[in-house]
Amino acid sequence: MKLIRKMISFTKGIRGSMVLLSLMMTVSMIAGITVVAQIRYIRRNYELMSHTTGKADRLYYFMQNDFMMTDAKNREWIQSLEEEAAVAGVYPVYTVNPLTYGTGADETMISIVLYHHRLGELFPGLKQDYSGGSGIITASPVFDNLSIGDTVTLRFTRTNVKQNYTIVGKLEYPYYSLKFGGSATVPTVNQMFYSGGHLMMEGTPENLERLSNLASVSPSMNFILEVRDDASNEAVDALMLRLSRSGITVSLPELLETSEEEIWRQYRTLLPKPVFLLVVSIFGYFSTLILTFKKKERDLALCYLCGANRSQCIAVVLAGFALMALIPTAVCVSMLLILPVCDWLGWMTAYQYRVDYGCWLLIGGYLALSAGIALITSRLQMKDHTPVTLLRGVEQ
Amino acid sequence: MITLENINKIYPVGEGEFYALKDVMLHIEKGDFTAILGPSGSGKSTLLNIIGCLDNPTSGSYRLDDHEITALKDGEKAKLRNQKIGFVLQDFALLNRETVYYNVMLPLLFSSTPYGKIRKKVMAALETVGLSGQEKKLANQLSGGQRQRVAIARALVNDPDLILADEPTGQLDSETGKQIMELLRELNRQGKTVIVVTHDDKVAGYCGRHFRVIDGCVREECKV
Repeated sequence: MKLIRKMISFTKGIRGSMVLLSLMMTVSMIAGITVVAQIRYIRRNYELMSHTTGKADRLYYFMQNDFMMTDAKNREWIQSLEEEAAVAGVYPVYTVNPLTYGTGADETMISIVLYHHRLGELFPGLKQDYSGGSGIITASPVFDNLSIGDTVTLRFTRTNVKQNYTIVGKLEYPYYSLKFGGSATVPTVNQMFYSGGHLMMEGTPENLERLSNLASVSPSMNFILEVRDDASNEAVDALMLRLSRSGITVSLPELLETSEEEIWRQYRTLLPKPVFLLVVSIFGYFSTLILTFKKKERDLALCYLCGANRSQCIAVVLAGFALMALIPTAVCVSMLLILPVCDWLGWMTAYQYRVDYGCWLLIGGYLALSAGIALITSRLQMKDHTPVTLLRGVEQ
Repeated sequence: MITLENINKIYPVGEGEFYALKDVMLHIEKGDFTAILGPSGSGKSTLLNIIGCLDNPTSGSYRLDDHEITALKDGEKAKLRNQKIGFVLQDFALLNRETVYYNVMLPLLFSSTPYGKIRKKVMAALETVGLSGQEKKLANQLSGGQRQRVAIARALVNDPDLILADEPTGQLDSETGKQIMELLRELNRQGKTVIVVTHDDKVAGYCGRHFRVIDGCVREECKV
């Protein structure tokens, strides 16, 4: 209570500059969070790369231009490619929906993604290489309370059929799984992955056929294409020419290379911003602290006179400055509590932000740095003063 | 109560030295009402700062009650200032944007007094100086005499044994100055040891003992 009273008194006469500094801290903290969230998002691409094997130089990622193509046309296109002499296999992912999990108010829309086993071999880090037959792998927070071996009941809403499935594997957050979505002029691994929640199942012909009878099964527009080892160069060139008419084709090693280049390009663009912000905000904070201190010398002299020791005087200054950090801290903490929910809902991905512990570390670091600067400044300022020098100011 | 022996305060000036206080010997008993006289720059404020545990002598011994002040750490001196000494300064030394109440309670914020007991002590101090009912006013809304009363109330609030007043009437008209000196005399009658630093013989006339400081040397005089 005494400290609060002293804090309130300390702010008198300097409230204008404190509010300005507080706003400055808020803006720089928000900007800092934004940059860190962007960096964390780019970092996510690195994590995705670690799931990808770049050794298979006979593998290509194909991204279609024609997003208006129907599922039936897409199937025909995939089938026609599989018949090409140079092609060993075409591996899209298949999305099965609509279906729900749970009952009543807890009923949740969910989808099953079917994978070719070859994709599991290509992306071992995703743990999507399984032999679960018709078992499923969970990749959704909805199933966090379930363990391997448990059974889930799914309802296929189109046919209103309920079926039980055994969980044979679980992906941990952030549930990276192949989706082969999106399109970009510079293809990166980011376009291949999806961090939303769903179920995964092995894309065997039996599973494909069984689920086709219960729900809609759509192949992804983009896919991995594998060229035969013994394919002639002419045949491969002809295949690439055909693919180039419908989209972009890039080999997996090239994809990793362009991904890494893109990540570094983004880093180079982003990193100067937080450094600039840090320098500006520290400079502003430091200079405001010194000016404010000068303005409050009289108050500190009176504190000395009334029996405060050096530490208590510094504590009064620090407590006053702690008040300044309240608004930015409250704003940023609220922001950090809300944004992960947006992230979880997938909203942040669209803006290429990712909010995680890195942002909390930033806030903590920023506050610790501010407190450190306030402490050092106060100590240095107090070092230059004795009760007598401060009192001279009062007497003048 | 106060014993100063061979107190020197030396400031370096260029390559030489300036003696603000030179071999000061001083003894003040509990309950004394003492004036320290001297012209401007004679060293009387330096002496008051040392007596008030605000400044350290360069050499010599200073005893306040049972404490050898020169051997104490800053924190211990701060505690003594808080518990045993009340200051009254020429320019009142108040927080002008704060209320009378806050100004008087300030020493209690740095003491071990529980927050719940602060109000009672502040109100008692204000009553002693005749400012009951003024506690909500801002310090800058008061007259000079009232401000000095607030300063005295602040000096009294922790019930110290010693009150140090540095030119307490310096910024007051003669009538108000007289009232303030009467108030200090009354406090002395109640048992407080009061030391007044002044260059005004009329002010010194209220005091029972007189010490004159000239060029850093202190000698006791007969009453003016």
